[in-house]
Amino acid sequence: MTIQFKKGVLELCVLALLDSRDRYGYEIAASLTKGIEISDGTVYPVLRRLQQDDYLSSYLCESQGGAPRKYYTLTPKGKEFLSLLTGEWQRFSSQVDRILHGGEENE
Amino acid sequence: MNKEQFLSALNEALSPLSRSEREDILSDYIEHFRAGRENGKSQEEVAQALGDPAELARAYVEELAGTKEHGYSEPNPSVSNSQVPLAVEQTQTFLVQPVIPDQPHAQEVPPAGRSSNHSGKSTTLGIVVVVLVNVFLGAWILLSLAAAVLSLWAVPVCFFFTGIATIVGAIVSFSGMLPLVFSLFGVSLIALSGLAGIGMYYLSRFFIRGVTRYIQFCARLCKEGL
Repeated sequence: MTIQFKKGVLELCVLALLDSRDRYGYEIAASLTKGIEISDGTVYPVLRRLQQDDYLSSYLCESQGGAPRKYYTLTPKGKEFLSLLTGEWQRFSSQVDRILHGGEENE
Repeated sequence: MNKEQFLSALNEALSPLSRSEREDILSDYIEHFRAGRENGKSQEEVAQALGDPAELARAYVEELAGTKEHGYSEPNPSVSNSQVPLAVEQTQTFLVQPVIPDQPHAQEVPPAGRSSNHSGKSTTLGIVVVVLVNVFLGAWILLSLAAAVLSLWAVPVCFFFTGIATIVGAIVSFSGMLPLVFSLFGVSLIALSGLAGIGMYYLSRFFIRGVTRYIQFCARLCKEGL
């Protein structure tokens, strides 16, 4: 996988995770790395970029441990972007599936 | 690698960023270490799972440098007038493009054409800026600086000939001890001219190196665009 591709997919995954509920960084990293082979740290540049582009906002919230945690939440713009990316992804993956499962004779 | 080693390596690799940005980024990782501890992981385990600090830092630094290049989320208005289609188009690009090289006959051409078109525009802008700056400012500053350096070369030359003249004049026109005294004076003038010459040699070299670097910079602007 090239970096650029990974980046796009990661953004989609992060946005999708935040669509169900607000989460903090460690949580997001843990959910992503469960299935995708990336290092935990990769999540933070993605979060920061999404936040800079106004797709996410963050707020601090106390945790049981005492120290406050930074929670991320989707902005309306982020929701829009998520549905755009989801559409892209579905179209893309269905095309890949088509090629994998029957290939080019359908062309 | 423990927590401190990870954070200091990351901090070092982030040095192109401003201090406040760096602190902001590091605080995310500090929180991550804390959350890891609360989940029963050792600091070494957390650092290991986070990955290579230099690699992570590159993502931030590239972000800083490349917002123009890969700004699919932030369409660059100078590239296209219609922002929304561009956002869609570039989103497509980043999802589809990397897979395409495996199928060279598919749609490799459009993204490549688009990207070269993009760099073509900024290259034109680069050339225009370089030409304008040089015609109105750069060339004149260079010219006057070159004149200054050239005229400063008069210092060692004058010292040298004054020294020679003093010696010759003293030998021809005086007798007794005076020629010796004046000759010594002349020799010291020549020595001074030597020192000034060495100084001018380094100054000229410095100047030429500066000019070369400036020209290279201009050439790079023309080639790669702004």
